[in-house]
Amino acid sequence: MKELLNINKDLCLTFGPSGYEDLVSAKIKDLITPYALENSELYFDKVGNLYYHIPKENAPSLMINAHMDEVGFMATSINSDGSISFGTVGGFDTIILPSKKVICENGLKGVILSKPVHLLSRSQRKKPIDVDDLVIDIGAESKEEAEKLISLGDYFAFDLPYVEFGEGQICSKALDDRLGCAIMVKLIMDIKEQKIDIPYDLYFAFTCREEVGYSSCFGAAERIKPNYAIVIESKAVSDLYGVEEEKHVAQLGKGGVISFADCGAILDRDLVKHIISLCEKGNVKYQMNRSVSGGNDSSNIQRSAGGAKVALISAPSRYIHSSSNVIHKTDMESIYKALYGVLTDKNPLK
Amino acid sequence: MENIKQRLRALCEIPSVSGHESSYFDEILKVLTKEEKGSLDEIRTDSFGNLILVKKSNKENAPALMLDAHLDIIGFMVTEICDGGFLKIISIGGLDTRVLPATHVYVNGKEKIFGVITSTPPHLRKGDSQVPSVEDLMVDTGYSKEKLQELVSVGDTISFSPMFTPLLNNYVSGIGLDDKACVCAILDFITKVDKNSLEYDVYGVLSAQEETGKWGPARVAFNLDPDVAIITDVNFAKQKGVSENESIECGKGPSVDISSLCNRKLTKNIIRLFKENNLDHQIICEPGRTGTNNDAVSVSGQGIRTAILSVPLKSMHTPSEVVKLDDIKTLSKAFELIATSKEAL
Repeated sequence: MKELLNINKDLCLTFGPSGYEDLVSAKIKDLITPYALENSELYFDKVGNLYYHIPKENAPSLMINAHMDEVGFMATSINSDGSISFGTVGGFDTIILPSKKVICENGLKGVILSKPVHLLSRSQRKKPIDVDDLVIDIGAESKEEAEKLISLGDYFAFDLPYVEFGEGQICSKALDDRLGCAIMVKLIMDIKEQKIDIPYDLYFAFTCREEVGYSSCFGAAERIKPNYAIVIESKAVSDLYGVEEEKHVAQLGKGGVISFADCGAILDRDLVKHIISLCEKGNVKYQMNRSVSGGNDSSNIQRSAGGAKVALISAPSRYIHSSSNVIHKTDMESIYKALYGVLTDKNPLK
Repeated sequence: MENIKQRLRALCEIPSVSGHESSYFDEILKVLTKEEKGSLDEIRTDSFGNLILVKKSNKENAPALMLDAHLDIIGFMVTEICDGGFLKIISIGGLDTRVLPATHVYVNGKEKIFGVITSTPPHLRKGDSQVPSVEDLMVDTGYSKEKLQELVSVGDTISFSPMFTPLLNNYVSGIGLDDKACVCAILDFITKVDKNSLEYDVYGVLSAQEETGKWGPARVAFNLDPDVAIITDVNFAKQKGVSENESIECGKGPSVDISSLCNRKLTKNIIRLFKENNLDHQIICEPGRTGTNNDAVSVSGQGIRTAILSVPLKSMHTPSEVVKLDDIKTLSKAFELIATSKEAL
């Protein structure tokens, strides 16, 4: 499992807000290439999605999907003092933005400045900071200097360390959804190394732009037209001290979260039950999603082409869409094992 | 400049949260080389938690010049160890709760423990206010309660993860640059200056508990009764949302603060000295209270003549304060100018 964690760390620390997935996809391609089977196909489509296909005739098609992009920022104007105003790429709880470290696509480091608390009125202190009041400071001292280094539309992402802490927790940016990508890469490696005979016409799809809503995954599903799809994601949970248990959604360390429905899709009951039964059989930890919340690419795949049967399995994640997502590594391992179970199943779905 | 940057980085790594300064004296002194320590006449501490570095003039009956920068930084204290590895906390010093969620911290327990400040999802926040109070926030350590009880005690401090980051043009971002920037300038000056050139006995005071009430250096001033005390702290730098009349500018040198609570003649003298020597400096006016150690020191004992020099700093009291190293270097030069000039005081 150490390998899975190393891949995850490597991918989490790669720069890749929505629309700028190239570095992530290149890294994934490099990781997969040595493990590509002779009869397999490894290719990009015209919008940047990366596919790894292991064909099998007369077998149902199965698409396994994770998105490569992360939430981030885009430079929207360069100010007279050399600071950079920005817009958000993807859904943020903007309360987590002030004072975070960021890095530009060109490698320049910066910090998000906010007005000192001393200079705020009592009522201002109770209001969350508006994104328009925040700027990125890279140390440039004039508009002219900043313009030489930063162009409008340049991307920024969080720049914080990847930390393993506590009793198996991981704190990082971009765990949503590099952890899904990492699990897929590990499965691809296993298939080659363990010579696994997959009972499906199998596609791994690493897709773009999930975080901004108009996801490239839709096109990926149109291309593959899978019979079945399993989406690997991270799930926002609130299993904090003091929050009533029924509001937790799910809990860290208790396995992958299997959903029957979320705000985007009612997932395929038979496929979901199939995955659950394999987890039970293989003694793989899982937990059921206890809320109908959030949305992801599962709905895009379900509604693509002639429709597909889709399931969703997610790693419970605290402080999602921030610089500091927190997951438990055993949950990643459980999801990996659940999918391993599906791919090595002796009685596959028809 | 590299020297100053490395020293500042080392200082920022030391989690000297208010009230706990004396636990870190050894670490602070490790920032100095053996030769630098050897160049001092005395290193002493007091019962309040101030650290005092002394370098005396070779001249007889030289007046005493006290330079003050506070060693303490804002942070938190553990108030309760909860199920699931969460710690309830209170703030130490004036924290901006709008900038805290999802911030990396270290709990200074039996060992240093990483944690993340919790961020309650929007749908679970109470009332109209979207900004949490410190009571709503916790530190997520990832440990079980049982394990955490072995590692952490109620009353342990918590500090922001340092994450010292160099930016362009000699700017750096980090935690506790308020007031480690000025601590760094004092260390730079006092270790480098030649005793023979000193007109005054210099007392570099790295003082305690500025952030929680400006208590420290007044104790030193009481015991020492210096002829003059120069208080050095950070002041608001120009940045988005901060108006010109409440700020100074990064890169233009330290500011001389003009305030009713500073000695007017001393302040004028210092400005004249800087002008005569073409030292970069700026002026900021603080008509009443200054919010620095100055106010308490000025009324210490039978009264002390004080002046304030400030380093411009952006985003004060956040985990990403920003300062320009040139200003620290200029402050160190300002100390040298004052301490070696007969007419300065």
